Amino acid sequence: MLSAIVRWSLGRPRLVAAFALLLLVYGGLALKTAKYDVLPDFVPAQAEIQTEAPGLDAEQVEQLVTRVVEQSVNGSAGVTMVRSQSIPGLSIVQVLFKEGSDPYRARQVVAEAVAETASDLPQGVQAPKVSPLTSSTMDLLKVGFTSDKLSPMDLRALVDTVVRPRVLATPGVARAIVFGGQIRRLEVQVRPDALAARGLAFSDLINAVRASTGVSGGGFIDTEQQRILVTPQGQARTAAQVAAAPVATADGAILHIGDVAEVKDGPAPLNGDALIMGRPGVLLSTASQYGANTLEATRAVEATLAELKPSLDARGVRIYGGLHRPANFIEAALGGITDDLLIGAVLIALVLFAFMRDLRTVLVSFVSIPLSLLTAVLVMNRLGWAINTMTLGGLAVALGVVVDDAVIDVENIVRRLRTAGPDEAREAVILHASLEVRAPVIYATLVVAFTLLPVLLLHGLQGAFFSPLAAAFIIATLASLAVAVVVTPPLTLLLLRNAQLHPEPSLLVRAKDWHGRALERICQAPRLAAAASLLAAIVTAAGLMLFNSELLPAFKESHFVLGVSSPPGTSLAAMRNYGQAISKDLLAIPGVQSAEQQIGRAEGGEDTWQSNRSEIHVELKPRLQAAQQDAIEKSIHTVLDSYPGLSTEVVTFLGDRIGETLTGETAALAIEIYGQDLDQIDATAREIAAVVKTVPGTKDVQLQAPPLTPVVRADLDFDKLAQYGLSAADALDAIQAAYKGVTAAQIYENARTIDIAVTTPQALRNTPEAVGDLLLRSGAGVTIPLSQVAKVYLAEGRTSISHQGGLRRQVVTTNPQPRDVAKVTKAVQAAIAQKVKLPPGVYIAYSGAAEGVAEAQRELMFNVALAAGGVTALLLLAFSNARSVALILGSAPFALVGGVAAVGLTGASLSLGSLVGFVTLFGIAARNAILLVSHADHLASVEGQPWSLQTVIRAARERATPILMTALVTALGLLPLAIQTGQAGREIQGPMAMVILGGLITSTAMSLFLLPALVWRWGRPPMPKPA
Amino acid sequence: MTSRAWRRLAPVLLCALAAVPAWALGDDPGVKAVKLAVETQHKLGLATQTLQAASRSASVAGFARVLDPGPLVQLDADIQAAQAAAVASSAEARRARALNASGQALSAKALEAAIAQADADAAKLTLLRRRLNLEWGDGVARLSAGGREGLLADIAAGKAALVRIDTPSGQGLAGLHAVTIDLGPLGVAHARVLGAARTADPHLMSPGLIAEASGPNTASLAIGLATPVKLTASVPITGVVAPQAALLRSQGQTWVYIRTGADTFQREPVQGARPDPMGLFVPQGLKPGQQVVTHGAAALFSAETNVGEEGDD
Repeated sequence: MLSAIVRWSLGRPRLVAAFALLLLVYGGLALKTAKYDVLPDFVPAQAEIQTEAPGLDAEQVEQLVTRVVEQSVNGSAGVTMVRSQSIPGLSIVQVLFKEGSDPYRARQVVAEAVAETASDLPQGVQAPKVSPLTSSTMDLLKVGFTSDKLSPMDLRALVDTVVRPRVLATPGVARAIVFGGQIRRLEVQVRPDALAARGLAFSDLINAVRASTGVSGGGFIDTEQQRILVTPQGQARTAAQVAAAPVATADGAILHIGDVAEVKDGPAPLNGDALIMGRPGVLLSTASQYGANTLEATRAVEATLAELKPSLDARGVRIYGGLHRPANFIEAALGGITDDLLIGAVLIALVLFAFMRDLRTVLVSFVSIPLSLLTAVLVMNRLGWAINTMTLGGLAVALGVVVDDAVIDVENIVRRLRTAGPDEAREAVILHASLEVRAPVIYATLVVAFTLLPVLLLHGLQGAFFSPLAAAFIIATLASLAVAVVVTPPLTLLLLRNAQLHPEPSLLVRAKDWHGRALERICQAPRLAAAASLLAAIVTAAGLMLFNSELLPAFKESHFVLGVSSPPGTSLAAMRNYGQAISKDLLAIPGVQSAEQQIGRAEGGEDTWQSNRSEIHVELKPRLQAAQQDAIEKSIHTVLDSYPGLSTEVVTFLGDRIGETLTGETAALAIEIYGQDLDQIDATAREIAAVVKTVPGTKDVQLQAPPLTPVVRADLDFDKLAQYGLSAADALDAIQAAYKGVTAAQIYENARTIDIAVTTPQALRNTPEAVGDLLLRSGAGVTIPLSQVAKVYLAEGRTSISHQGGLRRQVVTTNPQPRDVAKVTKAVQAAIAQKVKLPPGVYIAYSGAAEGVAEAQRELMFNVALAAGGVTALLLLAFSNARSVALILGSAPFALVGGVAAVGLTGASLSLGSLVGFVTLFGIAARNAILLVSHADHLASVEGQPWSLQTVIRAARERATPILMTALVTALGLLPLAIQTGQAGREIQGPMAMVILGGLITSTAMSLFLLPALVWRWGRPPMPKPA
Repeated sequence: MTSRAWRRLAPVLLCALAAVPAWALGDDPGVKAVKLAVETQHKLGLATQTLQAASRSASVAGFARVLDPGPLVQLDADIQAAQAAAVASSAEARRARALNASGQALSAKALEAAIAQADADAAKLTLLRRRLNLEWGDGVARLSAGGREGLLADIAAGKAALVRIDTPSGQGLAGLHAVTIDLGPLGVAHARVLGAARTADPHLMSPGLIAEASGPNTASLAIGLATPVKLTASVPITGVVAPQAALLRSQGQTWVYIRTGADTFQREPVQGARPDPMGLFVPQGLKPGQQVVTHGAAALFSAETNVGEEGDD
């Protein structure tokens, strides 16, 4: 069948050439329309349910809200894990679904379950909201707004009513949350004593405010000819209109809201704030939709902002467009890789020309490389896959095989054409030359595909990351195979039919002669060659075991995320003060372009923090080298260290996001403490944190939930309440109205809703020590201060209660250097086992990046064993000879030892990226071995050469050119990537390239010098038995 | 004590002193001095304020209700009329008794009638006076007829008003002499306590006081007006006012930071404090002249509690 395909394509060389040209053009165009993203979608199907419970403390939220929501989703179809966090005023329940679940369906399941819980929640708690479905990296663009002309309230209103709706309507945007500024509300500020003096209670005023405004339809009037709508307008739009509304009194006297309260515009209590470039401003943080094209969506949002800019300029609003723009990383990564590939392409062309000395021959080889890669891109496009750092990595790694395909075929055809007689038809020579190498090339390609199978089969986060890489690699190698079978032979025929082929370069001929002489000597001592191979295997195994491991390298994103926290209970204003000072310092660091701080949380946002926690996004200037970015990171640490007492961490956005996905934590190592007694697990967590701090290599040791925050407690005395005829509700309602405020009504203005809240004057709300003075009033009119019926005192309360699987948990996190994570994890486990005695009912679990690495390695090992079986079976099928199979497999460790040396020289840290490099290296080595062994077999069994040292040396000599060419071309093709290791976009490909580069040296040495000796000693093909 | 004995005792005393725990000397064991570089202080805009001596009287929030003087006016008129009648009938009785005793043309019957009338008028006057006491309290009842007359004249002229002062459960009413009435945008009016009221306020569970308001804003005290009042004790206490911006709450207590050096600060508890419009009035612990941190206290607290600890990087 193979012969038929090659024959068919050789019969239509112009048609095939035209098709190839068309494919190149189409593939080039497809690159423009392809989906681009930072990373593959690595977040498993999950949904987050946020329930706002204003005024409730963490324990109340846990008992009254979180447990209700948890119970509603627990046990739903496909749910694998339910995590929750209860913080003052907010319940967050995260639902994780089993791998492979459809995210849309998962979300629907959650939405249906949650819809039924609304009626079970206490009064005043808002309906649970399922967060929108976003892409894995979420962040699309952070945009800041500042103004010298507009007040914080007006600026916020402008962003809320003009900018946000337009941005939300932009294709690809899933969510746009707003931080900062002030949200306008109408406040009815009443002094409790003024109410009491008039015999009124808070409830009387709330009812009056409720009745002060309204919206309702009036129906219509049908006349003989027309239907006329009746539209009453009853909205109180101003403070004066609300103040004029009557309050019902017991004696029927006419009293107005304004008589007992001051009605005025005021800012609603904020849960978060924002600083833009160190100045108060408003931050719009957008997230991309699930599956959206990040580049396209980013540009669309920027286009929307550009449309709005003139009107915002006119109002004195300044826009800071790229406070965080993940698209920058994609552009830098794509740009960098494109540059590297172009440089690589030029180097490849030069090598090809040096060996072949003929432009047309070079063209045939060279064209097959982009043709194969573009075909792979077209297939990926068709499958709906995005081009991201991982698929690009797959294509980069595939370059070795693609080049090999291009070289082997053309080299063999050229070699056969050189030796062909003048009478032989060129078409036949090309056909036979092509078919000669085809079978081993197919086996070799399948072997390589098999070796990548373990990566393709990875599960979980590791699978989400590396499966696309393996898939891209396999698609590219298969495309390359197809090009080699269908396109290369007819192109060779078309271009070389009448060409006068140059003889081999004399330098190469001399090198081959020297190689032959060297082989004769080496083949005298095949056992020494075997011993060298064995030693290499030992060194390889030892190196792989000794190296540190890390899941993913640190990405050079030109962006840092700074976590800055102060003690629980710290106000927004105090955090803003920190932010202003820190932003000023950060902006003074050369290379920093912008700094933005978001404090606390925004409604519906992904970060559900309290006022003491903030995040500063630092965007660096474009085109900074990795070393410059590292230097800036050091300067950032120095700045943060100059503010004593703050809890800080500096992470990159993607690293942070991946870590968060892995464990729900952002830390590299998380120690989870489970139990039922909150005090007990808190005490254990503190003890563990103290022990972890003593372990060398641990950094940023933190308790995930800082234990306590200042609170004012009011413990009602029910006997006293009864004595004064007060109910608990009288007291609780009054406290809520006085300090939280009660939203009694809403008015609608210019597409926004403005709350009318009944509360007390600010002066009464800012002294915790005066809470006991609050006057309560019973339904019967008895008025009494709160301190008469309750014990009111300053105390401390919990800031956060976490659950996992319904169990309460506390988490201690630490962030060792990525390369040390596995080592530090072991040390931490040992220290805790030795020094911490767990109370009954408390147990601990470890998670984080280290667990991910270990899990990935375990799975990879299993898959490797599976693949090894497959490869062996395939080779046995191909060679029907266990000796040949053993030789091919036995040559691999020597190829890998160069990769091990490369890893050792570049930091001794083994990322999954470099593991993939080793897998590829194994494929290349196996391929060379297959071609050499099969060629020796071919000479002996097909061409009738006697099995002698000369035959083996001839086979090696004839394979030397393609082996050298492949090695050189692959090495030079990957050299720019290896040199740029660690730069933006090459964080994964760089280490892979380094491993392959190192391995190519030993692999080539193995193929050219040791393997022929092994083949000569142990590779004699079975002789046909005499009849 | 001899110098020899001193030499023997001195080491023992020194050891004993060294062994006295910090808390015994007044330092909180959980509080340590905070050091913050001057440069960082500038960056964070740290500011201090000198505590000033202040004096505050204990105050209680209450309510004042302007009473309708009509019944009092009526009662006063009734008393005056009754008194006049009693005086007249008493004189008549005395005259009748004298005439009867001298045997001058006055029958025993007429004498008895005159005495009965005098007794009846006297009883009526007593009744009215008792009513005055029962309805308006002994403060008003104690007033002489002239004093009452003057009061009512002032009330009628808008120069004075009678107010009833109540506080929840009657807190702070005992020993009260003067009251400041908050009239909102109209300002304040001052009132002199006349005495205890005789009827309780069932809503406030307060025995109540009757006071006479006078002064420039009294005209605003229209009958039926109910308004909050601040009752202040007569004896002011001295202390300092810790500004609102300086206060921190932690471990169930209120604290302030006091500057103890150019770059050192000490957290001090605020004890026995009372809410004050400016912050908290602190009668003990804090001293006038101390530099209290009014901007940046949260940063000092962070530095002291050091949430980042060596996790900072």
